[in-house]
Amino acid sequence: MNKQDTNGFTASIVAGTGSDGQSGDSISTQLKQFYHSVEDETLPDRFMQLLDLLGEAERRHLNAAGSGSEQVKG
Amino acid sequence: MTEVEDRTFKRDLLASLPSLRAFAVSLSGNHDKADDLLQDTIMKAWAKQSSFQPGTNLKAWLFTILRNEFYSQMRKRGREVQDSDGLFTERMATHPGQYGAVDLQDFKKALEQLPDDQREAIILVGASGFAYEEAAEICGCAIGTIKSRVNRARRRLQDILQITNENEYGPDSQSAAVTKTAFAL
Repeated sequence: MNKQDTNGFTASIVAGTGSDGQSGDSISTQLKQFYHSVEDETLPDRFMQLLDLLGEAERRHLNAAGSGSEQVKG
Repeated sequence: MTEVEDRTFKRDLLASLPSLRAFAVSLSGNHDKADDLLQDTIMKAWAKQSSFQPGTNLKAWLFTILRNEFYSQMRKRGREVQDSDGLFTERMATHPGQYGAVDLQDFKKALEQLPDDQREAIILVGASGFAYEEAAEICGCAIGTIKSRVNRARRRLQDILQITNENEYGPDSQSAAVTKTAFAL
């Protein structure tokens, strides 16, 4: 379903270009290139640090709640 | 939430970050704002993780949180003048061979000219890899609405980028732009 819709999008982009098929195709391509260029950037350290801090805080919270950790409300 | 689910949540969240960040940059047009937005989103998602149903689509859930956060911050601050980043240009300049820096800068500028609702629709469906129904759920609207926004965004981008290209050919650019606009209406 997911794949089909994505393909449908690409198809409609190409089909919707009328006489100038090239430009429609290039919009789809450039959109992906733009997006992937940001995805490919190195993730700033602050996000890993933040996740580590959040994980650490939660572990402490769970430990403080005692051994019956399954009963801790999520 | 058990510890195992907790670790899975963190791992899956981490795996979604690059795409989530690209969505944030697409919405805000600015890396600094996007990173602040991403940080707020991570904190929100972490605090709300018990409301996430394991096994359902975490990526769509995260995108929804980020999108809501973006619009709520925009409402709070009032509409700021678009503050597009030179940072992107700088970064692109370091990988010109890889991505075709000049084209992508033009493309980013064109993307920024789209209305917010059209931009998010074409990004979610055309770049983030969501199906129309997932995008509709993320944006809180009907599937038909998403489809028509994507179509309008696509046509608008074609118009803008064709005009941009014609500008490169010189003195006729003004009349070319006028003709294009006339045909587009």
